[in-house]
Amino acid sequence: MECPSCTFQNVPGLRECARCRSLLDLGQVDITPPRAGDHVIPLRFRSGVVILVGDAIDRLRSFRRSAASAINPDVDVPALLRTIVPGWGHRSVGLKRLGLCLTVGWIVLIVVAILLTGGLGGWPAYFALVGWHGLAVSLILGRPLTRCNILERAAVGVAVWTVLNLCIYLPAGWALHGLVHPFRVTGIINGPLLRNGDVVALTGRWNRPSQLQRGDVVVYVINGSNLTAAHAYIRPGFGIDRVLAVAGDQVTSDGVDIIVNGEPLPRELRPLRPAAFTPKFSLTVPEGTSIILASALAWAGHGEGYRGYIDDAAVNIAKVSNAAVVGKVMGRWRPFSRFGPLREDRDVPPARPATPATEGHP
Amino acid sequence: MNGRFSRLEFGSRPGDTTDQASAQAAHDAGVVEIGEPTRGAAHHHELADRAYRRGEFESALQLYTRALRNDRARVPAWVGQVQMLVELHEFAEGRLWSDKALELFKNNGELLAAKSQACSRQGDRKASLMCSDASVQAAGSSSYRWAVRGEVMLAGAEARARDCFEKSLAEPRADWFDRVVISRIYTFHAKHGAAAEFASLAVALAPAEPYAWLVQSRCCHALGNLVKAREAAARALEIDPRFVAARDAAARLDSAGSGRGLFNRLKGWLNG
Repeated sequence: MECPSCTFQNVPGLRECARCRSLLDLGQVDITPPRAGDHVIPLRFRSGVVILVGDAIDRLRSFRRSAASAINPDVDVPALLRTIVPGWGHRSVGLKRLGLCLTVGWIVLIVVAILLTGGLGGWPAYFALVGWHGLAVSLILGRPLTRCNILERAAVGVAVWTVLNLCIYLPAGWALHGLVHPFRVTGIINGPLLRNGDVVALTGRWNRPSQLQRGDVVVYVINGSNLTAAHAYIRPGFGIDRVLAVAGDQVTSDGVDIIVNGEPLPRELRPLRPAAFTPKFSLTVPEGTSIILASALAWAGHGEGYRGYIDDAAVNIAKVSNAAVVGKVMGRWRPFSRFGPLREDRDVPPARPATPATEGHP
Repeated sequence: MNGRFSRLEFGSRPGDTTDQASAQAAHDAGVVEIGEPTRGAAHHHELADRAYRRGEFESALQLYTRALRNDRARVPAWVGQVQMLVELHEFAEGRLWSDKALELFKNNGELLAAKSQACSRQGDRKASLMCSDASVQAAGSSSYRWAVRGEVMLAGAEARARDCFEKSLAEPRADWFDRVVISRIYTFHAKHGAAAEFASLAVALAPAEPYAWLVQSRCCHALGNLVKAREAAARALEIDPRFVAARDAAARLDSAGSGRGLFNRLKGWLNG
């Protein structure tokens, strides 16, 4: 009996070839090859209600198997994993130019997204970045995806988008915000230091200074009792101003100048916006509080008859607990022409003290 | 066997629709007329090879299966099945089937080469290299074994891949179709320039083969050279007006505009 593989002449009756061990009796051998998409659907359950559930489970399993069959066999898994950096996976499979273009484009989009964060272009830049990364992943999956139908491709697209967002970009954004928090300044009158529309970079939750210093520019929450401080709004509920004194400092005011620890405030430590009226007071800043002399003190000049009340209210407005401080301003983010540490813009005249009669609530 | 029993086919089952499907596939391949009496394994194997040489992989797969129904010991038909599964991009199934065939025909060089190709296209370079090494060391030699070795090398140093392809074409029985096989290997790995080169060699060697012209048309299209692609597709249709794949390619090229051409050029540049 001739072996079909090595043509060795074997003794009749043998099951395997004596030379190469190939099977000689092929009568019962299955000759139909397996095909992609051949899946066994489990038997259905019997009862009426369970049939519906079983049917749905069957369809999900069939879809999962067909998706797995469509994707897993052909996917270059190491290249796919390397696509965590778009273009790396492509370079590893020999598509060097494409990989380089993907990587460079990704880096550019990251920079653009970071620069535009906090503004109107932030979210579109973010979506473009995630979309670019999704494109890189889909190019690696391209060949297997050609064997999927439109619904399966859409499902893969949604899955890729979800994984990229949940596993990479949202955690990265959260981590970045832990270090730098962009904050858009609106609702203020333009001054030498800040203008409406400026985006400042605040410290994040991880690098917030435990102790504020005199002169720090901070963003703070305005609580309910300060709601009358209309001019302190930069967004509803937030104010921005300079810390004049910290816990333990002795602060006095004679109605004209502010004296901290017996010395008048130097120019660079004055409030961001001069008040129309500075109340007379003397206090020692309690623990956990910083004096932030909000421009809401403009209201302090509203009517002689209210001076006694406003003085107290103004002092209350001026005192902000450290817990209400959102973050310290590290520098200006935008406009890019004035990117960097906060510096006085000598071209902008100093803001006039606010006159409550001409400025209403925001 | 003579007489009234000479046309009986042993191994066929009543109501076997695959027989009808295979006959239809052979008819679609343009190589047999409906109503011809069914033949043995050799005949179906020949039809399968013809279908393969026209790029009709699905038909070829069915015909190889048909050939095996009549003669399960026909090793080239097993090899053909694996090759068709690989050409149809069913790499996992191809690998599985090659493993099954290798259990039956141990250390068969052609089957090892087919398995190597399936592993290589799956991205399993280690397994593909092992199988390719075993394939060239096994008894015998063929263009296919060296072409597959070239594909395995293509994942690494291209110069060595080229050597293997040259060796494949130096085999005594190498013909125009081996050049087409190499061209398709390069196309799979997105090396369209090299693919076009080997497609041109195939056309030069066999200008009467429509499939060679079709492969050249596809390579030119991938490179963004629409004019040459249209010419090649038209030539394929001229040789065989019933060639469906060539007709589809020509229709696609006709609808391709300048934007598409630019996109294809960019794609070709990005893919190196």
